[in-house]
Amino acid sequence: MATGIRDKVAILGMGCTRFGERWESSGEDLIIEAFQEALADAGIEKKEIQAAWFGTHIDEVNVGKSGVPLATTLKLPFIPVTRTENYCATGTEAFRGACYAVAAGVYDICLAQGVEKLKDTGYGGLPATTAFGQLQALVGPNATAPGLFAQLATSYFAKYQVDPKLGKKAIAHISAKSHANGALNPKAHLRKVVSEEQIINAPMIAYPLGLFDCCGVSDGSAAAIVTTPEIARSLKKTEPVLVKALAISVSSGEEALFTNWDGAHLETTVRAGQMAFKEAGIKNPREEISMMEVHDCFSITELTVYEDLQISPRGKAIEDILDGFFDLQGKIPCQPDGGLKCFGHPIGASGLRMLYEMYSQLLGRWPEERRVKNPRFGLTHNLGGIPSTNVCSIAIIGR
Amino acid sequence: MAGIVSFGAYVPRYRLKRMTIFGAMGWINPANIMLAQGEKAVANQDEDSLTMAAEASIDCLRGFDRSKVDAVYFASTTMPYAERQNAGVISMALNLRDDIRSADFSGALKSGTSALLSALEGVGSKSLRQAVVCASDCRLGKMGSPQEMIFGDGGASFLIGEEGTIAEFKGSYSLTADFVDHYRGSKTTFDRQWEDRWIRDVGFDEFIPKAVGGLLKKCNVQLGDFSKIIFQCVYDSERRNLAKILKLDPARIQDPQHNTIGETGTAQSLIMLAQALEEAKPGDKLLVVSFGNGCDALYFQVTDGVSKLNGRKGVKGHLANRAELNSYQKYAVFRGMIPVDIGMRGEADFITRWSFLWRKRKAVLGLIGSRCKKCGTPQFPPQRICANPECGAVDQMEDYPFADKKGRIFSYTGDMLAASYDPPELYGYVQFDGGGRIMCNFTDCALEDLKVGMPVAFSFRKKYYDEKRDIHGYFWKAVPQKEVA
Amino acid sequence: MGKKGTEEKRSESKRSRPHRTHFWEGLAISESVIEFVHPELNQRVDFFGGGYLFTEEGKLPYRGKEVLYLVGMAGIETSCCGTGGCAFIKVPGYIRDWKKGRNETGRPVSEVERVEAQDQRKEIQDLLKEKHPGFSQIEFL
Repeated sequence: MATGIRDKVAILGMGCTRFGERWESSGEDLIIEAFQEALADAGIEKKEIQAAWFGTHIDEVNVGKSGVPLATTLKLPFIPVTRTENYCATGTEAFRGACYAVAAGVYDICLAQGVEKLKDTGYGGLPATTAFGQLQALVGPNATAPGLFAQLATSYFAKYQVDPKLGKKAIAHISAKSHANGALNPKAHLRKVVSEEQIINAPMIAYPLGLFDCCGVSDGSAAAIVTTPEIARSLKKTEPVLVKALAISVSSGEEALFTNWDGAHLETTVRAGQMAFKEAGIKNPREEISMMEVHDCFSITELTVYEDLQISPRGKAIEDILDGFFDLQGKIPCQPDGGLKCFGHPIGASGLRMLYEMYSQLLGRWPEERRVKNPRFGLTHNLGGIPSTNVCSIAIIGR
Repeated sequence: MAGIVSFGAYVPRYRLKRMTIFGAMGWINPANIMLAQGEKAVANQDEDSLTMAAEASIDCLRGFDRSKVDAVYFASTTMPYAERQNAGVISMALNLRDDIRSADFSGALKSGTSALLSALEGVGSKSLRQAVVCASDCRLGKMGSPQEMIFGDGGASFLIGEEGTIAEFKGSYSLTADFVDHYRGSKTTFDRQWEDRWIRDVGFDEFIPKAVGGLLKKCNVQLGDFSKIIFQCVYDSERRNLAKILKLDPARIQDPQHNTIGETGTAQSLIMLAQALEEAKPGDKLLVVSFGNGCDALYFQVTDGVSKLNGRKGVKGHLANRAELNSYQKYAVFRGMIPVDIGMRGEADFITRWSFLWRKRKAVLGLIGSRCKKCGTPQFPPQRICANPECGAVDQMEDYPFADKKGRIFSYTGDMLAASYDPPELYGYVQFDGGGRIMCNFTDCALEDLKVGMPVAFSFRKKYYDEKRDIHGYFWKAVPQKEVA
Repeated sequence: MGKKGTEEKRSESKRSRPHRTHFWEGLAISESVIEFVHPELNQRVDFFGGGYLFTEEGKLPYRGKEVLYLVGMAGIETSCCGTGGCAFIKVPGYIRDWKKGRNETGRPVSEVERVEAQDQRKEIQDLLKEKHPGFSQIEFL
């Protein structure tokens, strides 16, 4: 009878590059930067890594397909390296592969790394791809991610009869809060404080999302080295950070094709959340989750995720947001590192960057000004695709 | 006896005032002030002659069973494809059977009536039970040209058959002449014409009376028998002159809608015929004369059936659906007349995979989805495995057309970032009445018009144009509808 | 503030909402009369995906009243999906009390009434489009 991942895997070390427009670095340079930090943090030698999982999403730029680029860059000695790709859950999928290998007892020490070098595209934004298949290219509207997620906002505001001004204020608060956090973080790309007013005054990108409701494009890499809790304890002589849950939920097709989805929430997040909380033994997320990194590609996504993760009651996220519930000093700090808003979204790396932040917070590594007090469970959340058709990954780690 | 069973028309929503054109281009050709009255209908950026003909045909076929249509004929001098049968694409949009005849009629402005004659004769000879004939044009004059002032965009469509006719076909008379009043070579975009005076004196003055005379003699009727005389002539003064020559009662001359639609080329005489039918009473005789490298003259007699035919938007309905295009530059960019920077994102290469499109043609061109026979759930795109989480039946689907279904806006946005010829790009989810959902573009509207819950209907539109490979791609878009009480 | 039980926290925040320097100082969101803080002109607000600034403040005469509007420009360089520049106008509303005071950071504050009626919005939009050709993004705050 399967028993889930809880407490079967420990994180031995993690690394994360500075995210941003890393003009001076190719994908390989970013891989090395994150890996070196993770290796040093783990306190092991490279040859002790027995298998690796490598997350990259975009083929058109970046480092190429397959797991080979990771191995040839780091000179991994002929060990297994598997490429994972699952839209924005790519990084978490790499982590999941490494964790399952350790939990299955097949390997003792595994590496999970993600990288995305996007700034060779030549123009702003993600390079055009047929990420959604051939038919979508023929029949889908000429859409951008902001436009696709903006629909979450028009649907949410309509469903809960939210005055658009109040809705705008709430999502502005979400972004303002993340920018305040990012300003304190040397690894973030954007480190400027932005006020709610400045966010509301900003021009529209895709109604009703404005300039500051959308994350940017950047380069980055992050890595994690995982092992069994026993090995971690013997090496580190301290209580390690343990993996409590790893959940993935993929759309079944019914949101887009059937009639029950209301357009105002992310069903995969609900299901992945349920799976993750069950796996971690969490009965009341609002009370038990200490901090979160959720997929704030767009501020409205973060809003609905608060409800989808059963933290805010349905239709009530705005109250919690304006109360400061998710601010750094609030009950459940969300995006304590600044989130996608301040880091951008190098797709293969983001999931691991989120884990890096939760991991570092659990170990109390940050200066006082951006530390979460006494965290117990940290949750990461990624969402890739479009609101009606997507993959959601959730990881919960704790100590 | 073969005749017209139904008719439809399409006039695009955008109207460009002639003074707006003159305001932009009058500096180079001040003589155009003489032509700067009223307005003309211009196709939206996502429309062309093929989509307008399809829309006119949808109007025509509303409420009719399409299974007896044995032929589809499309007439235009501005077809998007020189080879890839345009009528064939229209056939897919109309969801007609596979085992039918189809043909493109082109090369002259009288192609519309030529196509009509072929259909009438096909039905009359009992080779065809019913035929759809549609005509449209989306013509271009050079910037600052008189053609640009007078050309308008539009289409008309007729269902031809023997049973249930609203107008019986009584006879025709045709003239074929290599009279080159204007022309376009196969490699050219813009119309070129010869001297106006020559065109009037040697063209219209000679051909129209000859065609009319020929028909009257052949069919043994008098001009005075006709309630409406419909003839195609681009010159207002010449129309008056012809009325004098033919001794026509001005009240019986069909309005060419010059100052509301413009000169629609191949569709001109057919749009006028459609409007005449909208206004006709049983027993009326109609005379239609087209002009373009000769003439076709056709004689119809309206039956009792005309009063029973309703539910078409026709010319009247489309004329009423109007939005001003207040920018000449937009018009020129829409029609691809001036190079515009659509951004590198707009340059993303998209390869049309014909083998893939062939497999998906019904979904893409016909908006045909599937409905699960087990649980009754309609779904788009068509699925093999039912999307209903309670059902999940495999391979128990039947074709389910969505194009004629109404729906409501489920979600929407106005996207300023997407590459667009008319930003912001408007799109969102539509929930169909009866079930099924689709994410699609909204067209013929502005962002302020959109609300969750608003009703929409679907329209066949140009989805993309691959400049590199000269490929026009088509799909359907949602058009917001005014709520009907 | 520190972490508290949620019920306690929420009721406490309702009792004593901290003073913030933004539009809705002390007034409920859905009220039509607001205190509008004038942003500094030609001061670029930088962002990851670009930046924007206001170049001009204007007063548009309309039906006997004056409509306050701000003309802005933006460059959207690295946003997740594209490149666009923006010419935009924001309309806080009808001026009721022009620059009646200053907020804590020294910015002037005016009392403004939001434009709610759809037909008024359309007319004001058309007037602004005529006055500022090329500015197609006009938003009522």
